[in-house]
Amino acid sequence: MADSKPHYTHLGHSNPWPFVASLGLMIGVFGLLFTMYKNPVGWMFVTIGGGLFLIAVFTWLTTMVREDIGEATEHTVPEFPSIGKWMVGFLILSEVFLFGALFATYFYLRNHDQVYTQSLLHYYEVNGEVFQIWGLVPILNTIFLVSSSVTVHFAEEALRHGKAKVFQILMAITVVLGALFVGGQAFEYWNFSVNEHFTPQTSTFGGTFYTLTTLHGMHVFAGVIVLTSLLVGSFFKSLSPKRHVALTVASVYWHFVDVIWIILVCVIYLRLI
Amino acid sequence: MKPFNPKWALPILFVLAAFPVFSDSFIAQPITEYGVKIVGLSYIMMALCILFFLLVVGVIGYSLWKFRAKGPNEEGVAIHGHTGLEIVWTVIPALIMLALGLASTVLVFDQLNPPKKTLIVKVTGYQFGWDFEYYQADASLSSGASDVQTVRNICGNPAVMVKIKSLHVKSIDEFTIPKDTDIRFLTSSKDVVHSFWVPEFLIKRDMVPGLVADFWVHPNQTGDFVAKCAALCGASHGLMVAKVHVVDRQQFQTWLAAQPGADLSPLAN
Amino acid sequence: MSETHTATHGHNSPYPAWTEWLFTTDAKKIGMVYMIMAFIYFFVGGICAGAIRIQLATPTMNFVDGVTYNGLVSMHGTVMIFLWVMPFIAGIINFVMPLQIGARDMAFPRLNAMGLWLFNAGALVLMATFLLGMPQAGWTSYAPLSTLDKKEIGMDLWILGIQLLGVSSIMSGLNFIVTILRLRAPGMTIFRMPLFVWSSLVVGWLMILAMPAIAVTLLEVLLERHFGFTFFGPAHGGDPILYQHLFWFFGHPEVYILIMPAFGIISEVIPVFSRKPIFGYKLMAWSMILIAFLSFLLWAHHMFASGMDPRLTLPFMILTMIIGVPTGVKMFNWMATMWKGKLYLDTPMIFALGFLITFAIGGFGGIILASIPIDLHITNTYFVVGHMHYVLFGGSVMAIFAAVYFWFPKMTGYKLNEKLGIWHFVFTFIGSNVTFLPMHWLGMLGMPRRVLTYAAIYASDNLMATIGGFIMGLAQLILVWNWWITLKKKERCEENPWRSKGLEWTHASSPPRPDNFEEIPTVDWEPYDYGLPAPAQAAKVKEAKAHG
Repeated sequence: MADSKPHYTHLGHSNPWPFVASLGLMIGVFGLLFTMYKNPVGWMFVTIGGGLFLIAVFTWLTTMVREDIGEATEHTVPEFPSIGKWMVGFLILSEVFLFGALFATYFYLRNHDQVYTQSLLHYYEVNGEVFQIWGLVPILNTIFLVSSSVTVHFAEEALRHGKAKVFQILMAITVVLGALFVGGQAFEYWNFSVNEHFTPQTSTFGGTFYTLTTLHGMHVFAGVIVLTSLLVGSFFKSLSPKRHVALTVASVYWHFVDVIWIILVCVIYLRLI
Repeated sequence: MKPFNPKWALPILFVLAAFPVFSDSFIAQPITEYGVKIVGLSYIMMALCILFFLLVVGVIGYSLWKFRAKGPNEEGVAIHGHTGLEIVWTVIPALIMLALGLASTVLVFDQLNPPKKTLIVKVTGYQFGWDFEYYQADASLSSGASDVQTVRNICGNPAVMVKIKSLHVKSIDEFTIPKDTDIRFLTSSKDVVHSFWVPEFLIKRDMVPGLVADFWVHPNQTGDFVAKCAALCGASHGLMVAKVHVVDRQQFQTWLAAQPGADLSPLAN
Repeated sequence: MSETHTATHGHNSPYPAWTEWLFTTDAKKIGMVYMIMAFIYFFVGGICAGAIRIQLATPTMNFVDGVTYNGLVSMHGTVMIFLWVMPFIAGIINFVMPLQIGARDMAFPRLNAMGLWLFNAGALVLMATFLLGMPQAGWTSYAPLSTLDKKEIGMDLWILGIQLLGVSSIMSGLNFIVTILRLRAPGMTIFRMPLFVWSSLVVGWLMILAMPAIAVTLLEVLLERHFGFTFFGPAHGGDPILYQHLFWFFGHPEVYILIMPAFGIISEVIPVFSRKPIFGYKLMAWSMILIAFLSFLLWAHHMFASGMDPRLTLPFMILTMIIGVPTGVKMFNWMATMWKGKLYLDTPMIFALGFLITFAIGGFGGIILASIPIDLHITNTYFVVGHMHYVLFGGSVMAIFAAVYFWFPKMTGYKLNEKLGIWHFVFTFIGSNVTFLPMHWLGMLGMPRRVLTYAAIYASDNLMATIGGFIMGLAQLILVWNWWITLKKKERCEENPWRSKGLEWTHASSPPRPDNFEEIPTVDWEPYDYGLPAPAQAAKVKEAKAHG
């Protein structure tokens, strides 16, 4: 059975944004290098490169959002539904291995410390005392992030039932909660470093704690950007109740980021294993 | 012109490279009991590999001869598979692997259970030299004594746990050991990962900063050999060698006694 | 412009003509750029190898100093793995796989382009080390060697370059997987896919699951080098062995990334030129899945001598021996495919046969290395260098050459010169064997790896390896010459010169139109539908004999 018309995304099309984004990353990488070697030209490169990258990603993302929210034409709508969902599924699988490697580092170095010092909790010590990282800020952050997963879920639900305004309100709350999380994390870092003298350089626990939570925080930050773009986009043109792949993808990704946080809390903050 | 038949490349290849024509043998000459076993296992594995390789070459060569198409547009026989054959060439290699695995495991346990009382040579590598320090290991040594060290492998291997007493003998970039004696090497490093390898021991162990690893030997021949660094460690990695002297027991005692500051009392047991 | 015009001519870009190759999202063009860049870097890596072999030609050679030598060794490995084999694989999959499954493009064409340009960006970052200082710690970059010298700019360039390349690979992997699982033509069930597609699916999984580990490893190295973190330095509670675990958790699946598409290519070529179906199709597919799965469980077989707890090394030996079984099954199945076939020895088939021989040697070397006690003698020696080059060059690169000759007509409409192809093979085969076979006993006799000189007794074998290396290197010029004259002559060949039954040959032109197919076919046939059933075959033979 033949298909009657060419249904493919960017059939013979050109798109400059992958090239520009890669160029930006390359320039940014050289900038990072110069910065690490204390060369003043570094910041210039990082800015130019980062700028190019962000412009490219922003344009790319908005194009995708526009495609999704109904400006799609025969030339841009993929014939195959749900490939976005499949992609995010495999992306999450890949990210599991990413965080997995960092958790492996955490456990390995803890075990190493336990064998070396013959003490179970020496790994967590700062200035001779076991450092208490569980406290108000991570508790609040947990509440923020878990609630935001709930709100984004019901936002999508509302959209599916055609309640565009409810969708926008719930999305806005999600975005605010996500931003609060990121802010909370930043505050916690400041507090730990300045007041408690617990920095990444303090110990191997410091190194793994900060690396894990920063990588997670960056994922939350990226999620906030994407959710914000969708929210902003919805003010220009309503998302379709039937087909909103970008939102579904973002929402699944957001749940994943939340799950990683729960695991972080159980393993690193509460030391359940 | 007829396409060049690749089966002729093989004899050419063999003449040029297949036999170690420029060396006496294909593996280092063992000077330890353990080394002899390694060489034995190597010979068996090489023989099996060559056998299977000849089988592969034979089948391919035969196919090229028997099943070559003579004209255009010929077709082969549409065989899709054969479960029996698949089972045969799954099970037979699996059984061979099993046998090799078992033989290998026996030798692994050989190294996992070093004798309790051994001469200890602690090898510490650094960019780009070697420190060799001599100790006597004895499980009966009391841990509390000030001159007794307990060595532990940080990675958690209890087999490395050993109590040692220093002989206060140290040599740099070369070492001497007696034959007909159990000798255990403890390896470590001062800076980056190095590796301690005397090919005639048929075993190597990395020298890693922050931990102590080990292996043991029982030399049964005397001679002079070379220890090489076998882990990339910097610009002079390729030049990082140490001299090895294996001497008979009497000569070793004499040599030890002649070292400045030597304390041979731990050997009295 | 009408839809049909767009579909057949592909000109619908609002950007100037010179940006066509920079901005393209067409998998075929992206594939071509990958493959051309890969061959350029093949030559870069080859020059590194040439310099290394000159230095090793005699024991008193002083061609380069220790720092340069270590840099060449590090860059040779890095370039060959990350800038030659991996991008070529990405390229050939990009071009061939959508055609083989009856799709018009990849699932995510823009992501595809991003992968390509990230690769080019990462490659340039790595190339900068030739000017600013090459990394010193090998392609494996063990800590603390890679973390101690904070002023070694090559190390940082290397880290950042590999990070870019890693992200590129993950993007490619995602694209391959979703494309294969979702974009197949109607009727093409999973078990009607060609084995090259199977290998592309498996390699996609390997990429998305293995690359994150190297990303984390190198992030930790960077943080320890310049930001005061401790992961690997023992002075403050770190452990160098942690580096090795993390690196090899990536490193071992990585080498299966390099060989898996080779398996797929060989599985495509042998049936076509034996005029017989692949022997044991389902088992061939399952064996690739099994091998990929097992490859994640073997990493510490690179660490038997590392000082890790020796008791923990035993399961890794067992698993390494186990993975040899499905690999052997593949070898036997390829040979069984040829059996009772009708063999046509065109260049792609010659390279496939070469693969069978040299990959077998590499595989046997691997089995020998699997044994812990033997490995403790030969790890980190030239035995490993010999083994790895047999599986990488004798395996992956032989298959890449087979793929080049096989699919060149599909990509261009021209057939590469057969005679030159045979000579390319002969000198490559002889050269590579002369180079790498002696390395096995060099290692067993006592020559460590990554050394710029050696004891006098190893001199003749090293000289032989150098001679072989130059034969092998110069042989590649024959291929370049072949491209040149073929593309200049522009002599069109038939649409399907190999009489292949693959979808890319039967339903797409050579070269294919921009949207690949005029109509997406509905697939209701099994792959590798070659050969005549036995009774018909016997009757034909009888008839041929009767007519003398």
